[in-house]
This record gives sequence, C-alpha cells and structure tokens, in this order.
Amino acid sequence: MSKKHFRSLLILLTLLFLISSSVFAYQFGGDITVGTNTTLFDQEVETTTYQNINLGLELDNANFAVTFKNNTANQEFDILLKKAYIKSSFKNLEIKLGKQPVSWSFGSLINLVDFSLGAEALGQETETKYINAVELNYPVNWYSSLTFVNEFNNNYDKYGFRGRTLIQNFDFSLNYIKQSSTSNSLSRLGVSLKGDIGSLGVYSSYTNMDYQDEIINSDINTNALMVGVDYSFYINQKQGYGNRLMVQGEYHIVKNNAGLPVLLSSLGRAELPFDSGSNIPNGNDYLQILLSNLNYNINDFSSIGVFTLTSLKDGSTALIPNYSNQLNGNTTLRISGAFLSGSQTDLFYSPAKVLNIELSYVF
Amino acid sequence: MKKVILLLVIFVFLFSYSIFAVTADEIIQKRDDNEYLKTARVESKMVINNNNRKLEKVMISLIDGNKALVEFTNPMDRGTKFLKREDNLWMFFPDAEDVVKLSGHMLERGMMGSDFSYKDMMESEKLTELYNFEIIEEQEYQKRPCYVIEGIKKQGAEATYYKRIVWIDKERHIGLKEELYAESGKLLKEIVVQEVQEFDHRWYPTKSVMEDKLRENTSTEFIIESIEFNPEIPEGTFSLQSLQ
Repeated sequence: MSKKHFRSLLILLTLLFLISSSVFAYQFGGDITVGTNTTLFDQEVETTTYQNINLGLELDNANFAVTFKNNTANQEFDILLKKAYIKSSFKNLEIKLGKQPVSWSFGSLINLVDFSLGAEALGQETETKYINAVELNYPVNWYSSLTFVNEFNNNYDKYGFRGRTLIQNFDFSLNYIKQSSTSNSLSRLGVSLKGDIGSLGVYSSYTNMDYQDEIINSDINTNALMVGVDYSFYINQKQGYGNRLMVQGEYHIVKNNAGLPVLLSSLGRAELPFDSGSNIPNGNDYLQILLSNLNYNINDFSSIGVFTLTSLKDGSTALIPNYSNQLNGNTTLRISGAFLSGSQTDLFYSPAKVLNIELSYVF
Repeated sequence: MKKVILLLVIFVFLFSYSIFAVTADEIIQKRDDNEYLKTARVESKMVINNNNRKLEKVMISLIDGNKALVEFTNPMDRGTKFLKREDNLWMFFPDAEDVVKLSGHMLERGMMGSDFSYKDMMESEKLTELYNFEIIEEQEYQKRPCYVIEGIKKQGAEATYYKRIVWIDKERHIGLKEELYAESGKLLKEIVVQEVQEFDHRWYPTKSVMEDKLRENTSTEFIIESIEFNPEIPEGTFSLQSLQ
C-alpha cells in the first residue's frame, strides 16, 4: 500500500471513528520550549534560537500530537505530526492505525533490535520513532504479547514482529525487522532481556544482521552483542542524609562491515554534532563501544549527569553532559553539551563543540 | 484493712492484665482491617516539599492485593503509569509510548522524586505476615491514647524495613505515627498521619506526611482526595497491555 493510499484510508477511518463516537473522555496538554543552540567550530561561534510548541490530545481510542517548530537560523517554520492514530480492539487483537511512535525499548542506552534504529538513544527519543504504520498486538496473558508492525513509507518497505514475555522475572523479547528498498535490504533478528541479579539491574541483547546490496552485489551477515548493567545508591551520607547516584554502563561489540552503520544509526545522531564514524572504512574488524550514563540527583528538582561513548579501539570519547532543574511551577531548565575527544581517523571525532540551553513550560 | 489492700492489688493486677490481654498481633490485625486495601480505587496527590519549594503530583491508583496500577494526571507527568505485580515494576512513558521494566534497585528510590519509595507506595502484604510485633508501651499521641508497637522483620520475610515502631490509636485502630528503621538501628523514615476519616465504620488515613531521614529538609504530604473500597476492577487491568 502506498503512502498516499494509506493517508486516504487513515482519514476515512478517522472520520468514521469520530462520527461513530458520541462521548469522549479526553486529555489535552502540551509544552512550550524556547532554546538556544551554540556551536563552536574552529573558533567560530554560531548561535541559533528555536521555539517549539507541542500539543497533544488523547481520546479514548485516538491520539493526536503535533509539534510546531520555529528555528531562527534558517527562518524555517516546520510542523511535525507526531501522533494521529486510532486504536481499536477485535476480541483480543488490538489495532493501531496511523502516525504513531513505535519503538521496542527495554531500558538500554542504545538498541540494535529496535523497530526504528535510533528511535530512542541515550535516554532521549528522536523523530525517527514517529512513523505511518499499522500495529497489530495480540496479548497472550498479562505479561506476554505478540506484535506486528508494518510501516508505510514511499522510500522503502518495512515490517517487524515482536514477541515479548517474562521468563524468571526477566523481560524477554524476540524481534525481527526487515527493511528493503529497490537496491538493498537489511534484516535484523535479535533477542533482548532485562532483569535483576541481586540488587544489580542487568540487560543484554544479541542481534543477527543481514545486509544485501544488489548494486555492489554484496551479502553481509554479521552479529552484535551488548551487555549492560545499572545500579543506584546513596552518596554524601556523612551528615545522615544523602543523594542518589544512578550508574548505567553498556558494552557493545559489532563488526565494522554491516554492524557499524546499524550501531551508528542506533545512536540517534541528533545527539552528536557530526557523522560519527564517517572516516572509518568498512571491514571485518570488531568494533567495541563502551557507553555509560551517570546521573546524580542534586535534590528533588534538579539533577546533573553525563553520557559517555568510548571506542575501545582508538580511545576516542564523546562526552554529553546534561543538567536539568525544575523551576517554580511547571517550568524546566535544561542545559546539555557535546564534546568529542578523538582525532580525524577516530570513531568519535568532531572539531565542533555544542552547547544547548532550553526552557520548557508544561501545561 | 489488709483485705482492702489485697483486693486493690488483685484489682490492679486484673485491670493491667486485661489491658495487655490484647496482643500486638490482634491490634495490628485490627489496624490492617482498617488500612489494608484488598481492592480499591484511590485518587490522591503528593506534595513534595524541599526547603521552600513545592512539587505536586496527582494520581489515580487501582489496587488489588499485591497488584497496583497508578496513573499520574498532573501536567508534568500526565499519562505516566506504573504497573506493580509482586516485586516487578513496569513503567509506561506517555510520549514515547514505551513500556519498560524497572530494575529492582529503583524500587527503593523516591517515587517521582518524593519521600515515598516505590516500595512504600506499593507494599501490599499484611504487616502481620511480615513482622513479629510486640507492645512496648502505651502513650498519648496527638491527644489520643495509643499503643506503641514494635515490629521486627520475620526471618525470610521480604519486608522493606527491618524494624518499625507504630503508634496505633486504641479506639480507632489506626496508625498515627510510624518510624521505619534499618537493621543497623538507623531511623530511615517517619510517617505522621495528620487527618483520618471514617468510611462505613472503617477509619482510614487521608493525609499523612513522610520524611525520608536520609534526605535533608524534605518531606512529602500524601493526601487522599477520594477512595472507593472494594470496587469492581475489570479483568486484565493489571497487565502490560493496559499500561499502553
């Protein structure tokens, strides 16, 4: 089904749905964000300001969310439709049709077995996750379900299956995603699990990737492994009180060939000021990445943290510090940056340094 | 004269015996009868006080034994949901529409930044199943006669705190104050009930204040705005599906 036909079908179903529903329970809300983004590049400073308004409306069986974006750098005003979907149930089968967020997160910093690579990365969601799709979900019991997603896109065909269950208190998923265009295709088959060993949170994923390119006549099959841990504890207890420190660490190992672009896509490049790894030639070398997240709650309202990404092969590191403070009312101040230490031939390299400051008000 | 003194001694003995004839477990059981929620629908709010700043969280909770589903409705957290089944906690992020299983250590963290941990909010076992109780004294508290009862965690029980001391109103059988201790003897938390209400001959705390003694200058008020005991809860409510 083409994107055009999909839109027509969606509009028709939405109208039918709205006409047939007489009484709605609804929630309406949103937020307004103003921010500045400063990039320091070769001693030149470029600052842009932006304003975003997010509006959301949730009805019993439908959901709408839209972002109005204004960027002073390019004088562009943009509208991003994030959600416009209806949901319905037939016996046990649940259906969501329309523009909707799809991600198969399980708590990792990056997720190679997600439906959309980079949909969520380093604790942030990206625009990648909002897709035109139909989702069929069949709950087997309170903790198990089978999910099928078909994305409608003019540039490629994409679908995925997910089976999710609980085994010995571990959240277990088996995912398969295939995306193909006229010249190439990428399929990913993987498992993920998350649970506890004692008081330590542990999680892992294993992904098999198959990349076929008809133009250069290549077929690469490769695997990726990730293991991660998270833990939190009180520090600063000398005077009988303390603050929580949350620590999360992830180790990834992939081959450079097909694994590298998948891993980089999973990073959600919006967080970084460059195309990471553009200087790394494809090959069969193993690439090992260490990710960490430290987050310290200063008090109930503010926290400070830092994400780090380190390539174990060349030692290059990306630092993404962040600070947030909930001011009076529903206003939050967020400050974040991105600094990379590597040289030109390293994985995490960029001469640019980025600083972002924003204020958002939720209503 | 000797007979009078003897009768007086016997009377005092019998009187004091009759007081302590009520066992700690019976008192706690009566408190559980009031405060233990078999099934309930609760609309409540938390007001987090930190120095001079306040933060308000509003939520609707459905409870069924050791299962709970909580949805936040205040603007900052609107749509955020938690599902608790036994010791497993799942969280729904409304923007992302993701359901993620939280790690066990998160259960001890302050729920949404409050002085109540996820475990405090979601502990659903009856106290008599978790602790061995004994009456340690009687005291007047908040101008009410109270039993002061100490509970020590039963061996093998999965209780959040090693020891708890609770002041229970003798007449209404409701906890008016509770101190929660670590095994080391360190006071971890203190809850003071400020308001109680009677619902169909059942007393229930409607406003309480929790202080996490590990944090400086903070307290959280927990205010129940409405409560429905034993409502009908549709099948499938406490599932990952209902989180989405």
